[in-house]
Amino acid sequence: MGTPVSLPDDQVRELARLFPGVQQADDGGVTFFLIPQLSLPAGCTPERVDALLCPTARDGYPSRLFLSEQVRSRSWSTARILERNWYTVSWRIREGLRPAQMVLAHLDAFK
Amino acid sequence: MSPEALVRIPRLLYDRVAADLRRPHRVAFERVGFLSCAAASAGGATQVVLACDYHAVDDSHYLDDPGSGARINADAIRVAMQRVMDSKRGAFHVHLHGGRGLPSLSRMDQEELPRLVNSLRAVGPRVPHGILLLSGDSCAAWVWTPAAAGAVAARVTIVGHPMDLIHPGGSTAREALERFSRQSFLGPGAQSTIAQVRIGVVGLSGGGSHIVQQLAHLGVKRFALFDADVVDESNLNRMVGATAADARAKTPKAEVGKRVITAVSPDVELVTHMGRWQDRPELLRGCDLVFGAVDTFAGRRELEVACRRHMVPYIDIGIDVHRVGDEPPRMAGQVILSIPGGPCMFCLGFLTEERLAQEAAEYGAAGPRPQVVWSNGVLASTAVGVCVELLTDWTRARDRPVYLSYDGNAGTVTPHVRLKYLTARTCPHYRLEDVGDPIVRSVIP
Repeated sequence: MGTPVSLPDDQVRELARLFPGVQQADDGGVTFFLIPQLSLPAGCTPERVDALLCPTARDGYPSRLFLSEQVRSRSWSTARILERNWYTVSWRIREGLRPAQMVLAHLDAFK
Repeated sequence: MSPEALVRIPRLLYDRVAADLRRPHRVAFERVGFLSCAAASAGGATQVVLACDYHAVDDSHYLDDPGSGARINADAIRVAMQRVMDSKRGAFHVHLHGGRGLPSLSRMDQEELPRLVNSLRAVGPRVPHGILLLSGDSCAAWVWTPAAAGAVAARVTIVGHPMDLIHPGGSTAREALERFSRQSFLGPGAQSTIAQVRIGVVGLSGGGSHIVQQLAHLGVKRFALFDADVVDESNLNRMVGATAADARAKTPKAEVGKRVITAVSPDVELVTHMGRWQDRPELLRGCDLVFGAVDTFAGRRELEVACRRHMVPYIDIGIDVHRVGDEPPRMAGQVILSIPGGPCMFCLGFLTEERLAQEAAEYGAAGPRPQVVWSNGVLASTAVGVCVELLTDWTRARDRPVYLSYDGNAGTVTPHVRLKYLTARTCPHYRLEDVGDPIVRSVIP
């Protein structure tokens, strides 16, 4: 755990372009990006959920994407971040991606 | 339901405020400042107010008025109002009266300060504002919540080592002296403090069951108990209060905890949640102190994050048994006190990304963890001792980081070796500006 992360401006702008309404907040020394009503891959129910991107290493994963609801029947674990309960799956994406790429790569878990 | 307000101030910040207010001024007899405060709900009509910064009134913003202790001008009030608008935090007018004991507002304070607070409410209607008044050795606070028209006299907690719990009604202990006569050495106000403190216990099996039993005997009267599980046969080797009948009936562990407590003290204020604390987080926010007796590192991290966010001291206990080759099993455990502002479990090296990663990798495959009644008892007793010290200051061992290491094979509890290498007494991970309800900001200014 370190101090809150500061990402390059162009990466944050790219994230905001792809996911309008994205916001950020810190919890326990970690910076998270909150994406309201993120569109999920076809076949997911619900089709849109709030999502939370942790762009830094957490629990042994280089980054993690948390969802406000479970969207498919698979093994979910829970996390409490920013005073909300979130759900996530075991899904490892490659390191070195930009935040917008991270979100898209994490969404592959639900295709 | 009558409104209740809990005001929490970190001791370092409180000491800074008191020192500032004692500075002499060229024309004023007293000084004035404003505390910036975050807010959180503790459920129902309970408002939690978390002081996170202090702003002294500029020397030039005092008026020369021999008829009052301190009179500030319109600029001082404008600055405070602007800060409320910019920060989205509440503001508390702070000043200091002489004397000792619970202070009370002067007639002039009663006439003028509510008007000032109303000005603050006008620019920050969604956050609580109020007044904090210090005396030589105590303080009192009045809170205007967004929902209430008038002020609520608050319970103030100075969060540090030791903790000060200051009830607006003063001492409330009504206990028969006989019951607690053997622990009167804890100090003249100790039993009152113990009776006032609201303690949360998360996990009520091996360690937690011992903790609640001891807290009940100690005279704690206010509890929040959390456990999602029910008693089964495998709990009976260590869970105090659980019976064979409970295992057969699958009695919720929180129910057993409640039964143990009320058998000792029928007149307690007690809430139980037979589920995850994460599903009733407001109950945790209302606690003055939380014990965690949970199984996982991730669970500990979540508890510490929640407690830090709401300025609640957290006491963690845990035990593990390792086997290496043909060596006899090694039983080890820990008791950690995590006080807001002080070293956290990451600072102490107990929580690490590596441990969390390893645990996540083993998710679901670890199987039941070894647990035994005597080691649970040792750790729970030690943790309750840490709690009593924090509340009563009976040993006067202030500001001592607590990370105790239990060697179950040797039967010893000693300060952890990592304390020797702890250089900072403050925590870089949990910032005071992050307390209260999360502030979510746009990524594009």
